[in-house]
Amino acid sequence: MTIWEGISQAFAHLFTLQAALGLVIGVVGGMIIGALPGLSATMGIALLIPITYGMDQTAAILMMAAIYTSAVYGGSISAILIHTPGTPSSAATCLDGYPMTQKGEALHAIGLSTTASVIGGIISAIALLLIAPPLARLSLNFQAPEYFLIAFFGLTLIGSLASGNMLKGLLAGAIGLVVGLIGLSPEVYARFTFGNFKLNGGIDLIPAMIGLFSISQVMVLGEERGKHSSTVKEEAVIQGRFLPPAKEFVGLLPLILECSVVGVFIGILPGAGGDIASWVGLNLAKNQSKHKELFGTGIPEGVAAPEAANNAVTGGALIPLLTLGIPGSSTAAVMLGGLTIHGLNPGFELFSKFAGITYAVIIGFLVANILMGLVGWAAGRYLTKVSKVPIPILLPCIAMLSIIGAYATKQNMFTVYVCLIFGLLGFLMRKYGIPTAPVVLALILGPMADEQIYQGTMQAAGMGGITFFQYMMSRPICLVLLGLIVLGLFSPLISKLISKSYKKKYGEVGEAAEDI
Amino acid sequence: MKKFAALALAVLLALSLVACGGKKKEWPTGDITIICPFAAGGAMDRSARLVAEFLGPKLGVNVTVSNVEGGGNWIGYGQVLEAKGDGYILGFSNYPGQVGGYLNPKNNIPHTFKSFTNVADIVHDPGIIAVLPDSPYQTLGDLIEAGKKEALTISTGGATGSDDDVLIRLINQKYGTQFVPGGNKGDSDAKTALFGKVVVAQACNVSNYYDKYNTTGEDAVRVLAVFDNERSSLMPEIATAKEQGIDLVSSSDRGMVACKELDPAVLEKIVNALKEIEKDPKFIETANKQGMGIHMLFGADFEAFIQGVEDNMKSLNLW
Repeated sequence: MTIWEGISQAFAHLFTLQAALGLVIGVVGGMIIGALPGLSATMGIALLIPITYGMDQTAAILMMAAIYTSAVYGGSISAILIHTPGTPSSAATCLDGYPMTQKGEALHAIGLSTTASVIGGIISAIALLLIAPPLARLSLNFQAPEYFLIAFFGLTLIGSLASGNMLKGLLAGAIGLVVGLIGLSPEVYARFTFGNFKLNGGIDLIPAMIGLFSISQVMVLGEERGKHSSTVKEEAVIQGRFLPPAKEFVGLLPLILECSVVGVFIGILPGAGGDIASWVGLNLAKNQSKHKELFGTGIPEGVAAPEAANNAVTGGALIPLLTLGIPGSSTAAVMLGGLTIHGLNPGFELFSKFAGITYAVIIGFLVANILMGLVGWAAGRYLTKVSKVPIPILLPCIAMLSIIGAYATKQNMFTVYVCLIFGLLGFLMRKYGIPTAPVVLALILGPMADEQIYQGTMQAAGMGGITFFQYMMSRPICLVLLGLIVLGLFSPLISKLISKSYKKKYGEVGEAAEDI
Repeated sequence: MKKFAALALAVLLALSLVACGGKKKEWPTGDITIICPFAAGGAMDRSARLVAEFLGPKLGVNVTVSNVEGGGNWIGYGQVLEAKGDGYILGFSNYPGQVGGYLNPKNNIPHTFKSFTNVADIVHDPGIIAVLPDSPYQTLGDLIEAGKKEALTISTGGATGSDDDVLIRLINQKYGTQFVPGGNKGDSDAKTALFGKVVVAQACNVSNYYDKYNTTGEDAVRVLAVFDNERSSLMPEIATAKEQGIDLVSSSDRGMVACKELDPAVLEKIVNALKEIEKDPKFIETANKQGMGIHMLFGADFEAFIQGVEDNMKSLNLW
């Protein structure tokens, strides 16, 4: 099937009331979720998955994708107006966004952020449309050894998820790997179940993620309530023009495009998400600038670059998700759960049997980015109002939604307990500065590597009794992947240097939350 | 006036009570839930929902499917076993999955198929072995001869104890072959391995290739044999293994179960309703469109079938 055939099939799925509603609700809801400090795209999607059960597949997946991109954008508005990143992806935007507000250019800053986010998002959607189908076709040549190495590659990137402290990142990854071992092994041997058959199926991903991301966030915010009486700082006077002047826009365009491409690439890498991309984008802008000293004083480049990069991550992160079942970011990891719940298994099938749905989601994602720009233009300035929702009201709502969400995944209390235990685990991890995202990545990739090495060993056994390693080395794609793994091992060093040099220069920003 | 209104209301209520009492109180008077211990969207779920869709109108009540996953399906089975015998909670079960679950001593499950009232076997999906069209193996005999000489991997849509896996092990046991069951995670992994030519054949079911076995496209396969007592109506040209001199049957079956205490009168009504559905051409057509072969077995026949599955698995000493 060619891309054009896929696109033509897509329209039948896209032009339904449900899909349109999913799109609009996703964009508006995502923006609100993003603007609320403490609520990120990951959490929003994890909480909404149970609500999508009754929706049709296109509408459900499209809504998740729309929430993703829109929440990443919405986070920038709180960053600009109240110096608090709505999502971790917008931490870099605070540096120049808030000074612009202080200079009375708040609307200009929001306009820049909107323009850059929309362009970043659209470029990532186009990349998704162009890269995913051929990659899915290529994945037909992937066998157990290739999938094993891809999972292994993702696991090696865990260090980069914890740019602050690699050791803590690895510790978090190890926790995820151990949790992923629970249940029946590929040979149907019960591991770490302690004789309790309820653990045979393993730890369910969605309740564990809801616990790690939402419940722990509720606990953290609840504990902090005494310290900050309100999340809202002084309200800015919002005035000025929204769309950047043509001359400024033309001047910024090369930077925005470059940051978008970089963002797509970071999105594709397993685990590396919008927060890393926004720092890399800011770094790019600074390196190319003739007046580096002005960064941090409220200049347009400092807003446009990170915002283009973090929205470009969204489409990029969906590329390995849809084609290989490997999430490109922790938000994409939650979406993986959503896909399988709707009977859509990542891989070539999504681009053949379910092509209509998949292309509808991709086209819809493109439309969502445009719609996001329009909604942001019309209503973006009012979004700070949502950050006025008092925490005593917000927290019980999130907690309640989390519990319902955990129950709905399997309709039994066991998953609720899983969610609560992981909530406590997540809370303790955050207290000690251990990132939670690597737990989820390892929880997905560990069992995958486990299964694939078993299948690969069985296949090797029927090839004249060679070992799995010999089987792996006999396949060219595996050699390429092994090369990538070696390269990947150096990536945490690089991203660590970048974020460190920035944090040193500009200090910690706002709540400086980790990527959740 | 108020008094009159109150009186009128009381009379109305009393009348409505009488109306209720006048209705026959025979089962079913309320909605029925079928517990499906598998995720929504999968083959088990689709079968359960199809049955529920046709059973509802026959019984005159709503029949809904509730997916209760977890614990290797035994959380759902547990809820079925703990239900009251009034017939409002039924369950959907798969074979050999359920049997493998309780036979594995590490699972610690204190039940067998005899702990249930085994209502009916409904979906019967015979096992097949498929190869690629350019494979050197033209018949099942060719493949078995090759398997006697060297170890060859055959991909399977499930790990140890799945119907595909058990079929390969039974062939090894009976014909002295050295086939390695692929232990794949699911049918799509098993198919990927077949089309990537890293295995010689795929063990799966009629439903996997019923619309592909006699095509010529890039996703076509050649089916060597159907492991059933008779040919499948979904691939009538394919000879059974028995016709080729290989005396083995294998299938993946899905059926309805209930708790042991199920009221016999209720059981009879469910069985009669299912028998009517089996004669409904619309039901058969809808099922066949999804690759589900319908072959119902009731009561003692159904239990004899499960006993056969259990005996086969026990003979393999899998655990």
